[in-house]
Amino acid sequence: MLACDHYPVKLQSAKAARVPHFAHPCYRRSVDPLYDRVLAYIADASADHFEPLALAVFRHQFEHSLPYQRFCLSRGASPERVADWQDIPAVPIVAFKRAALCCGPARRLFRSSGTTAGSETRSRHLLPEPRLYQTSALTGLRQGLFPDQPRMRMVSLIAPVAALPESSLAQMVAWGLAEFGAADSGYVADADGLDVEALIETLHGSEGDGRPLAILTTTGALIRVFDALIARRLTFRLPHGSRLMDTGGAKGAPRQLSRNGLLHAVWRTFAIPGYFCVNEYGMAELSSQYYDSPIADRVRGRHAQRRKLVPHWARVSVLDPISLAPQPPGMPGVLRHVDLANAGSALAVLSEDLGMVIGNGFELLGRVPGAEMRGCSLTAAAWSSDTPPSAVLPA
Amino acid sequence: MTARPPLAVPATDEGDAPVASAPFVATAIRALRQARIGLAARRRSDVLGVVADVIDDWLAVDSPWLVRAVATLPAATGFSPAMIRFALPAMLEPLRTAQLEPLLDAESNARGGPPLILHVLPGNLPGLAAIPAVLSLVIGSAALLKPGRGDRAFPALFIESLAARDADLAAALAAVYWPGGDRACETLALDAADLVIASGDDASIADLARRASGRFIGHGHRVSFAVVTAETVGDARAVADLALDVATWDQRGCLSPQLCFVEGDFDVACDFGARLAAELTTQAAALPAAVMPVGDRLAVRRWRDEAEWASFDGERYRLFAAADEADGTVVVEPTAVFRPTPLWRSIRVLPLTQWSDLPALLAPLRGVLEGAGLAAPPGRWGECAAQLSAAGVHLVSRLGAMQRPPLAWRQGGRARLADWCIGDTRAA
Repeated sequence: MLACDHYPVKLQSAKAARVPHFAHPCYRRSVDPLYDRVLAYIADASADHFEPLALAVFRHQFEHSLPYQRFCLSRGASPERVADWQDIPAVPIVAFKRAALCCGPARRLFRSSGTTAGSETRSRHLLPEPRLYQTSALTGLRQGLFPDQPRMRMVSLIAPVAALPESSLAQMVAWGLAEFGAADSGYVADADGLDVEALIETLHGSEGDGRPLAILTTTGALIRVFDALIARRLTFRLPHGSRLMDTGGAKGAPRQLSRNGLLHAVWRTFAIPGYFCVNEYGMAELSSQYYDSPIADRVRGRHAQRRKLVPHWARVSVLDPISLAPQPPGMPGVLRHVDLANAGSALAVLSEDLGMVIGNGFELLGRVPGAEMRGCSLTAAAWSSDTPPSAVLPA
Repeated sequence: MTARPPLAVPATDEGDAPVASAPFVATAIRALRQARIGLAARRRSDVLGVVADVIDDWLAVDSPWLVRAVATLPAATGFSPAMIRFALPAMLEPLRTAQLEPLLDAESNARGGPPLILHVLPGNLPGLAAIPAVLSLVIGSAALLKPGRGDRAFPALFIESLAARDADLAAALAAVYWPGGDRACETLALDAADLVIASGDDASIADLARRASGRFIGHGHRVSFAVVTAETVGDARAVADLALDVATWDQRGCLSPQLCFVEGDFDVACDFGARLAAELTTQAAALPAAVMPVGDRLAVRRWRDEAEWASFDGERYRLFAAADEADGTVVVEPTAVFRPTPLWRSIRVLPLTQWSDLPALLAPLRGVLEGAGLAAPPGRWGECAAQLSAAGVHLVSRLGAMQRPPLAWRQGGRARLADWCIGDTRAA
């Protein structure tokens, strides 16, 4: 049992981390039969009828989401005219900032972390059927992080849902702890931040009893932990099978660290080898996540280049950022997601991330370039909180 | 490992002028000090005469200098030949004697400038070097011109045109480019200059001001806008003039309008916005836009998406956009909120229900406003311009003339030349 007396963070048990949402009766019944078809598709790893289901979801969204219908019509697209899943109009990220994309009454709301520059509005992802996200998140975790472990001890450096009620990541971790976590799993972070002492106690515990540990963290928090442990001259040799999932890039990190640098630091600090480290790529606007391949590959007994794996209920295309035409294999471009688990909001999403196809997956290359500063004219990009506030006339 | 090809980004602003090293900067400074000895001994009228000839050389029909600029600047800056041919002369015209002498009389009189001025010029707007170079010479100062990354070709060409008339005078100017942030070159120049005049963003200005040894004058980034009164909103001329102001230099100048208040309701603003978008398309054919980098194109697309999705969600936004992001975007917004745009001929059109709302709207923005283009009937023009001026606008222009500021324009509210001068230190 991992007990922690360090104020203010208490290690919460996995049981306590369960979120009561799905005990509510409304979650036990299907909102729309189509969602049940999607849930069944996600649960069936051998399912191969992606296109008809994607087109059915497109029709559903066209008929039930007025902003999306207006968008499609402005592009000359309708269920009668779209016969290929690749032609389904993809909404840009900004659509989640300016419109309510939801095919019915929303039962759950997630917001993006709002770390993009300037005073941009945060994305709102409205979910009429949260089971789609739950099923997708848990199936993704099983495939990417726990293909060999039904349950194991987990520690989250990501605060619980109570502290981050609108974070889709916090919700995913809560479900993950409940589904895959051993009884002594829990959190070492809350609304006030990270409790390094509690983490150290957890790491000592795992070293001592020989049971492997899964560390779930944002990349920024992980870098802060490296710095804190270096300051204390602490390293750990976690048992074989221990693993680490990081996500979110270096947002909020005290310094930048390359992917290779991060893998080396994980090895030096925790003795977790690179093939047990996965980076998760997810967005508040999507219901599915993409995990690095090494654990899944290792369990399947294959060795291949590290890449993000695409779950069977999603498709990722790499497009030319300007023409939005498909890029030839090996060329970088902007990522377009078609995510069946987004059946209640927006199936096709045009991200602002760059990537490149690698084998049956892709590599994430960063964000699309932003506008350059030039001339002597003040631009929207430079209009920050330091700039005099926008003036709004009273209505 | 899979080789990772780079994302294709069109080169837009890499000139072919050499990048200076610290020893090169030191040599240039020594040469400028030497040339300044000769400059200090010359009569101002003599210098003015040479300048008048050089400016005429540039503005003459079939000017070989303009021909060379049109041939070389597009590759160096990304701007189209048509834009260089149209807009560059307007940057030089204020230096004709008719404007130059009155400015000197008003702001310099017998006073001269310091021995050496460092001009840190804004990036990417060709021609901006001409006015600081000439004004430095006519007050007897040698000038080290540090061009922006995208304007490396013009300063050298301008100095060459001066040398063709008067090599000794041209020797008191040097255009030396080094990449922003090159501390060795910057420190040499900042230590040597008696006066530093710099344009840039707030952070750059603050950094240079802290490190300058001599006096420092900074010009931060500013925003400009247009106002169309109810009486002129239906005029085709107002629409065409505004489109020209927006299209010139692809909106990169601090006098480029990014917003237009239209006196009237939302429907009036929509009608105006639609006509403005059509006129911007016409302008795009006559004055093609510069080569647009991927990041800028995506920034404009994101801005368009934002307006479009607001309208899909039921908000009263209207988007009027050319097919190509570089050719113009007009967004009509329901509420008069003062926010800049991503530039590249992007403009917000905002309904102004009543003129009396405007001062309150502009009040919080005092300090970042620069110019206003005004379309108003003769009977209201003076009153409207006075109100805009009182609101903190430094230059009120007729629509269509925003990109041709007079030499007497008090940029940032400062006198153009008076602050440069240090007293009666040279022969007048």
